[in-house]
Amino acid sequence: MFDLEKSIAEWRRQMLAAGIKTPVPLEELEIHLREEIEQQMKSGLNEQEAFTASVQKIGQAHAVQSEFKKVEASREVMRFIVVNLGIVLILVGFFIFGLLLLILAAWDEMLQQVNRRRRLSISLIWASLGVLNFVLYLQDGGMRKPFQLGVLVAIVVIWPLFIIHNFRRWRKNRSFTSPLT
Amino acid sequence: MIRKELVAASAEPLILSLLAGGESYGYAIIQEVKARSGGKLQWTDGMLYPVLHRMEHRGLIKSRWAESETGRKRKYYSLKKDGKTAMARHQEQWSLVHSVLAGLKKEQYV
Repeated sequence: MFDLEKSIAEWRRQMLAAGIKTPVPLEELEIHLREEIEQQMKSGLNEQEAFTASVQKIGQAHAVQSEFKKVEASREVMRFIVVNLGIVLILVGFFIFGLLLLILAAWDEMLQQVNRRRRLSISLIWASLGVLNFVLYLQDGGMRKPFQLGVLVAIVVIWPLFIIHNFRRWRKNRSFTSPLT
Repeated sequence: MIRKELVAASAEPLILSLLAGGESYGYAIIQEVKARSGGKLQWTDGMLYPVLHRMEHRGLIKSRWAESETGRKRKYYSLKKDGKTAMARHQEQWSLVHSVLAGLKKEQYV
C-alpha cells in the first residue's frame, strides 16, 4: 500500500543526502512537491502516480543541489574571506598602530621615519581592501546587517582619515628633522 | 521544445517580468510561464529555486513567508527597486534581439 507521507519523507531524506541541508530551499521544494502532487491528482492520477510524476518534475536531487551550490558557493566564500579579512585587519591594524606608537616613542628619529613610511604603506593596503570589501557588498545587494555596515564604515572612513593624519605628521616631521630635503 | 540554453537565459527576465505584475511563489511562477508559452517553455521545477535565491541574493527580489487561502505555507517573492531596473534592461535587450530577428525574417519574405 502506497503511503504518500512516507514517500515524501523518503524524498526529503534523499534531498538531504544529496546535500540540500539548509532548511529554506528544502522546505520550499517540499511545498512545491505537495502542490504538484495535488494538481496531478486533480487531473486524475492516483497518489502514487502523482508522487512519481511530481518528483520527476522537481528533478534529480544532485542536479538541484549542484545548482544551489553554484549560486551560493563562490559568493559565500568570497564574502566570508573579504568580511573576515576586513575585521581581522582592522583589529590587527589598531593593535599594530598602538604598538608602533609605543616603539616610535622610544626609537631614534631616523628609525621613526622608516616606520612611519612602512605604516603608511600598510594603511594604504588596508584601505584598498576596505574599498574592495565595500564594492563587493554593493554588488551583492546592499548591507544586510548593521554590524556589517559598521565594519564597512570603519574600514572605508577610519583608514583614509588615519592615512591622512599619518601622512601629515610624517611630512611635518620630515621637514623638521631634515631641513636640507 | 526550446533549447535549454535559451530557457536558462530567459529565466531571469521572465521571473522579473512576472513579478512586476505582483508578488508570486515558485509553483505559480512555473505554471504561469508554462501557460503563457503554451507549454513550450518548461523549466525543471527544482531549478527555479536556485535562480530565485540567486536573484534575491543580488537584491533584485525579496521574499516573505505567508499562508495561502488554503492554509498552506508559501514563500512569496516580489520585485525590488533594483529588480525593476534589471527588468527594464532585460526587456530592452530582448526587444532589440527580437526586432533584429523580425527585421531579418521580414527581409527574407520580401
